[in-house]
Amino acid sequence: MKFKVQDISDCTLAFNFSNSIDEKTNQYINLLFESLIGSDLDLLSIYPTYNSLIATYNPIKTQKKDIVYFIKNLTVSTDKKNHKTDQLYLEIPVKYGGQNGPDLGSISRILSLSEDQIIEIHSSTIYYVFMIGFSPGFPYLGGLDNRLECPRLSTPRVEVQAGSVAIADKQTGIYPSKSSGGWRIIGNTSLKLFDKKLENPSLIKPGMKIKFTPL
Amino acid sequence: MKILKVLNNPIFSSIQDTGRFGFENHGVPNSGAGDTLSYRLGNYLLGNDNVSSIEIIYGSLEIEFISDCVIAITGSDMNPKVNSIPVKMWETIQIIKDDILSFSSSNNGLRSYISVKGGFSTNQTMNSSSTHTNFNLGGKKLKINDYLHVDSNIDNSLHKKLRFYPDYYHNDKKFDVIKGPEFENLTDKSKKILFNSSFKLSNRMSRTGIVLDGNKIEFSRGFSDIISDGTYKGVIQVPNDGKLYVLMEDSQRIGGYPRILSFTSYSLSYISQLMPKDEIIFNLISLEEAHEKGKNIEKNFFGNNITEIDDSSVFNLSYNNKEFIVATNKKHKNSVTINGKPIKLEF
Repeated sequence: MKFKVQDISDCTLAFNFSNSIDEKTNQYINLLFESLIGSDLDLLSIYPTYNSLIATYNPIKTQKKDIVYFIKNLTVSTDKKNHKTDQLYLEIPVKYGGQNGPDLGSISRILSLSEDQIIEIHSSTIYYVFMIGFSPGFPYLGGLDNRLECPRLSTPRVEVQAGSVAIADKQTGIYPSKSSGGWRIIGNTSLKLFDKKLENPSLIKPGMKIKFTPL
Repeated sequence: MKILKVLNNPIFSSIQDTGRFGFENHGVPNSGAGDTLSYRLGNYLLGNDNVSSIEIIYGSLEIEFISDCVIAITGSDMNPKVNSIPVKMWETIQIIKDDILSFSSSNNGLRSYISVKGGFSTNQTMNSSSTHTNFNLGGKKLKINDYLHVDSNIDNSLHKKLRFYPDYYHNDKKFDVIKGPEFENLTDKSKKILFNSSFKLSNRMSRTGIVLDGNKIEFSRGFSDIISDGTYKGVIQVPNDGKLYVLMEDSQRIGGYPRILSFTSYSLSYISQLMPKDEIIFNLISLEEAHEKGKNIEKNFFGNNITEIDDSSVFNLSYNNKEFIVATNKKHKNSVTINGKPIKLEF
């Protein structure tokens, strides 16, 4: 796949593969990311986003041209068997509505759907995890049914409870820890999405498929 | 073992190291010392490699040492004093048990660093002690009655100082930047504004980011937001309000605003020392120039930049009609001889 090389800063490169969001490109980037773990490339960090692979390097030690050369010549197996996260599937138990989903009522009025219809639509989709960011363990999920598209809160909440399942615009996500946030909260999961003591602290990984199960 | 006790509630002092790398795919920010040059210089002077230091922001910290140790104070000048007597920055300081080290407010910058020979030993989260207060990661934000520890106490060292170090007070207002991925989306007028006018730090600043005040920045074709993509500290983003947002060390590694410029790694150390109302003029350079300058700075500051200080002194003392030759030699800890015979000093 073709890519553009961008300098995000004097020590951070983006290998940008696309100008739009699509699963296929993202899956390829995840494959590339996986094949770079444990490679000889001397990098401070490497991680995938929607469309890019981001590499931070120390220009004193590593030259940009060597990193670009390495990535260009990397042979990536697109054999699905070698793609670890692609096969990962996670069901997330959710208590929808009431205290767990304080915005379900207002969304119901905005979208002219009953609360049960919203829960039914939200929990019958299999979502694709594009990337983790915003806060530790926060998944950017793709695949929200367009019937559930609704605007963000005009005033963000100062405090969103850990485990809050929320929707905004074309997106749905889960707040792993207590934080501020402007997405509309429809439910809550007691699943621990981020544990800083674990070697792999985020339960959800890019490339995973997830589904919400109403409790 | 315990090395020091915190005697007050400082404004914002925390444990930091070179940062938390390798967990970006889990959504974890890097954190770490904001002024990496000063943090690294203190530890370079002490012979430490990637250890934990205290980052003092805005000053006002008082600590009491529980055992002898060797420290270095780097960064901005917050009038450091040991037992109320001013001490020099950018050189090793021999600390004796019960010494009280205090910092008042800053003279010339936002951040100061205390490093100890051997490094502080604190909580590690994901291989780093760097404190991220919002996400409760790493060491700690210091408060009254906190104790800090060291693994093994190295209480003796030659008296050394740095020959070169960053001069925050006389630094001009020009800061090197390179173009970011969305720079070309700016209007021609906005590009001119960036390089022909100055910007000022607003009051909205933290370890996550700094908002700059200045002329409004606009994009051609009106579009602004991007598909969320990679960022790093030093990146300057422009949301729809047309203001410049500088990402700092605690920021996320994913952002949805256009990345128009970024401060070079070394200029970011100077940026991290600025206070509200301080002025910034962007000096646009190429990536190659940035790397070349970075190499020169690395060579100046971290290649043969340490000199030993000879503290030995000899003087004659008359007492009861007798002549004594008193000699001090700090190379050997607190060693004092009278007529060649070592005497024991009690503090």
